[in-house]
Amino acid sequence: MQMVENDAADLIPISFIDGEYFAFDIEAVKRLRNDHHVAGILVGTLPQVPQQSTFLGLPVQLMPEEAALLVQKGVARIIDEGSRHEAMLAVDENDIDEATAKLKINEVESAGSESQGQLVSFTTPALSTVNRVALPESSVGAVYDTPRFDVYKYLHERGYFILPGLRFGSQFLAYPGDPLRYHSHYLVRGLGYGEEFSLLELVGSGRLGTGVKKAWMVGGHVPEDEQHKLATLNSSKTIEREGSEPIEDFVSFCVEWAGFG
Amino acid sequence: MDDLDNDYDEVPVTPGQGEQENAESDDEQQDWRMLAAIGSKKSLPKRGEKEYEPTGSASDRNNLDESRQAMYTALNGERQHTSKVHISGIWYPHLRKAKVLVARGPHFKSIGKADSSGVIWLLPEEVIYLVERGSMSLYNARGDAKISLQACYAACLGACQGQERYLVYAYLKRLGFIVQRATTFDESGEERIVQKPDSCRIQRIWKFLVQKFDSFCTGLRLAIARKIPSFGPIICGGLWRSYDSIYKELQIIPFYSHRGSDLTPKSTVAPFRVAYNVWKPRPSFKKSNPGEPDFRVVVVNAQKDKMPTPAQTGALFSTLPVFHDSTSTSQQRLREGYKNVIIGVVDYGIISFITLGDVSFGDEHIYDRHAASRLSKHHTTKKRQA
Repeated sequence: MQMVENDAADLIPISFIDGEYFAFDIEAVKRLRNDHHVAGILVGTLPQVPQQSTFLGLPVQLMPEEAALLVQKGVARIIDEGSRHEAMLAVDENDIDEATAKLKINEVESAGSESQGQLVSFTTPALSTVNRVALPESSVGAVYDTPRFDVYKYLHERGYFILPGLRFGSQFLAYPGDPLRYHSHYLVRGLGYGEEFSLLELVGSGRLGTGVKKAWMVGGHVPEDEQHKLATLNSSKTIEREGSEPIEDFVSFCVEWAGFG
Repeated sequence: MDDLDNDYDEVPVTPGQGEQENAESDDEQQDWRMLAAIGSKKSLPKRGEKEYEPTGSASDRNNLDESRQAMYTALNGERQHTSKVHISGIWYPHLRKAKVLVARGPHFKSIGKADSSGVIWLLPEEVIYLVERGSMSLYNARGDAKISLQACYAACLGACQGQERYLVYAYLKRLGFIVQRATTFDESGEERIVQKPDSCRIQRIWKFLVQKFDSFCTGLRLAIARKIPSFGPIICGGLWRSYDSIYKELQIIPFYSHRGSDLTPKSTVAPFRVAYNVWKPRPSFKKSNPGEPDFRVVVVNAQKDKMPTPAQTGALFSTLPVFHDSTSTSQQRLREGYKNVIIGVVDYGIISFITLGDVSFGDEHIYDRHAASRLSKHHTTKKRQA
């Protein structure tokens, strides 16, 4: 389970805590955003301006699909923060020596904090220095092969930034550029190939999307036996694109409300 | 840092409304370049404008780089506080609580709980909140390591009973609300109606008797009129002194009334239990005697949970007290309901709030000229974006 620190040093660490994925390292956040167009959601309080929720701080929360894709692409690894910090946090319930602990804390506080005239200031670091405990790729394996993951991957490979879809009642929102600067274009819904969905969902999502100047996008991964059928149907198209994408393995549609009559 | 330390207990710089309007009108529109202005001014900057899509132009690229740089600079800010408002504590994993060693500053007016020996203990969500905003130094039980933000999440998040609960807690705290765990926070916690049961029971019995007497009188009146055919007009014979009493006789379709609903609390199952009690910020607030909360908040996970079924909603409402506001108008009652609860929905870090209200439409007599004072029934749950 433990990976050699040197081999993995250039992998982006993603913290796994209580079933959720986070990035605590500002360098990781920069790399995710700049190099891999993964923005995530800031969920922490910004210490400089703590009494507001417009501008938030670290950590950045990632969706399981994001963590899984980054691991699959070999650019990130999942760190199990629970077992990593276990030894440091551990306590013997029957032998709690609070007096000694207090003494040690006093020492640390008087030595470690910087003095600014009369006032002493105390700083909490964002990151721990304990050795990291990495989880194998199989820890995110359950996310692969879900319709959510398929559509996430499809859009991510085409350069979109993808955020959770709660604001507009879809699975994801897809942005053509960094969500800091650009509006989203699609309300995204991933489906299994051949999976049925309600016409009312099409109407509801289609109209909602158009109403907020976006489109509703629905798509699914094409299973292998179907891929060949599609390939024969679209043979002319496939040949044109030869080299990059020999076989189409994903179908997607966008719904916009045309408003005829 | 020093001037910010003084702002701790301050009520939010923007009231919730403006914030929500923006959040609803479109996706977030933060412009981090404007964050720098906050330090000096007391109001939040306006959110920036966003573009439709990247154009590839130099100014486009420049704007993006500036926005990102401003954000990264802000994210790199240190979690720091001075000795004047120093808080330190030890995290005990087996207790799932932190023991406070030094407690300076205004936070403890609404946070933490003292035990019989006067030692203050913090719940995991309170610990993460204080550490995250840089207000607290947290140490491990042996006292030999300072706990980083990362380690604090690793230690405390699991004890918050779901990350979505912590996110809602922190969101409300940042906006200045006072937030405490409800008795139903844990799976085993008892439901408890906070109103006084005695006066309520007497009231109920009295109302029941009045209703019975009323229907007896009507029956008697009709019997006297000796015209009670099983078919034919609903209103016949008798002595009618006002239109109101006739309208009342015409009300033959049964409808839901919160008065008829079950008054004994039913057992609720997570997540549809009240997680937090919330009070508006007030200087007179006392932790030991907080009084009736202004809001009750249920937290659900958009990925795991569904809308509550009528049975779940009914059980949830049965644990809530009825509002008694004699001055409320009919419209207010239809909007707020006789009971209501706020549901915080969390989708991987994004939060929306919905209010569920227990509304008795049938109780509002539209024929009643003095609508401000009256009663009776129809069940509907009303949703609106909080």
